[in-house]
Amino acid sequence: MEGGFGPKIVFEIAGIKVTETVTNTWIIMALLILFSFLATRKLEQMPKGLQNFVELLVDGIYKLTAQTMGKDKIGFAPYIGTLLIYLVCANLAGLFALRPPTADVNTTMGLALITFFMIHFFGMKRKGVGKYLKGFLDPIPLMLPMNIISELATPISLSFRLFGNIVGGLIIMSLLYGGLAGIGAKLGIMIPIFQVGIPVPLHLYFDVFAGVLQSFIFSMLTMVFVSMAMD
Amino acid sequence: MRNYSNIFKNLALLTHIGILMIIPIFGAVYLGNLVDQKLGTNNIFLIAFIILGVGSGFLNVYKVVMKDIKKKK
Repeated sequence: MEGGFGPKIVFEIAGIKVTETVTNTWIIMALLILFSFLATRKLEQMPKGLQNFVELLVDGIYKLTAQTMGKDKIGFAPYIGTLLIYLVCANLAGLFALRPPTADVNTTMGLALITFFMIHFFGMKRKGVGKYLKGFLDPIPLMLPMNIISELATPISLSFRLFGNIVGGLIIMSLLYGGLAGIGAKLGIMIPIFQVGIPVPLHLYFDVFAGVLQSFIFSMLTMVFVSMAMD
Repeated sequence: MRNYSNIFKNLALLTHIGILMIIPIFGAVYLGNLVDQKLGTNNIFLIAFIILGVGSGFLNVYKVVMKDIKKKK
C-alpha cells in the first residue's frame, strides 16, 4: 500500500500521466454507451423486457426534473439523467474492484464546475447580464465580497462532499481488506476466507447506500441551484 | 412521487446547509493566513477575512432558506 490511497498511474501519453480515475471513467463510459445502444436498438410500441426498464428510468428522471425544477425547465432532464446515471455507476464501481472515479477530487470538481457554470450561465440568460450581476450587490453594495465568496462556496461544497464520502469509504474498505488479509496470514490460512463475508455489510453501507445517496444529492442540488438562479 | 420528491429535495438541502456554512469560513482562514504571510502583516488580514467568511457563511444559509420559504408561500 505504498504511495497512499491516491489513484495509481496506469500509463503515460507524451508525459501526461493517465491515472486509474481516467481509465475507470472510460470503462464506465463505454459500458453506458453500450447499454444505451442495446437498450434503444429495437424499440417497439408495446414495451417489454429491457425497454420497459429503460422507459421507467427515463420517465422517472423526467418526472423528478419536472417536480424539482418546474415544468418549464424540463429541458434539463437529459443532463440530470446523465449525471445521475454516471454518478451511480461511478460510485458503485467499488463493488466490482474498480477504484471509483469519484474518489478523485478532480472528477468531482469537474462535475461541480459544470454545475457552477450552468448556474451562472442560465441565470444570466434568463434574467439578463446586467440584472443578474446587479443581484450580487443585493441587499447593499457592501455585501459584494460576501456574495462572491458565497457563490464560490457552492462548487467546493458540492465536490468535496461527494469526494469525501466516496474516498472515506474507499480508505476504510482498503484498510479492512488489508487487516483481514493480515489476520489470515497470522493464522496461517492461505485461502482468503476472512475477506469473503465480513466486508459485505460495510460494502452495503459505503458503496451502495452512501454512493447512491450522494449521487442523488449531487443531482438534486444541481437541479435546485440551477432552478434557483433562474427563478 | 410528489411527496417523495419534496422529501428528497429537503434532505439534500439539509445536508448541504452545514457544509455551505463552514466552507467560506475555512476558505477565509486559509486566504487570510496566506495574505498575512505574503505581506508580513500581523494577522490583520486573517481577522478581516474571518469576518468576511463568517458573514458569507451566514448569507449562504440565509439565501437558501429564504428562497425556499418564498417558494412555499
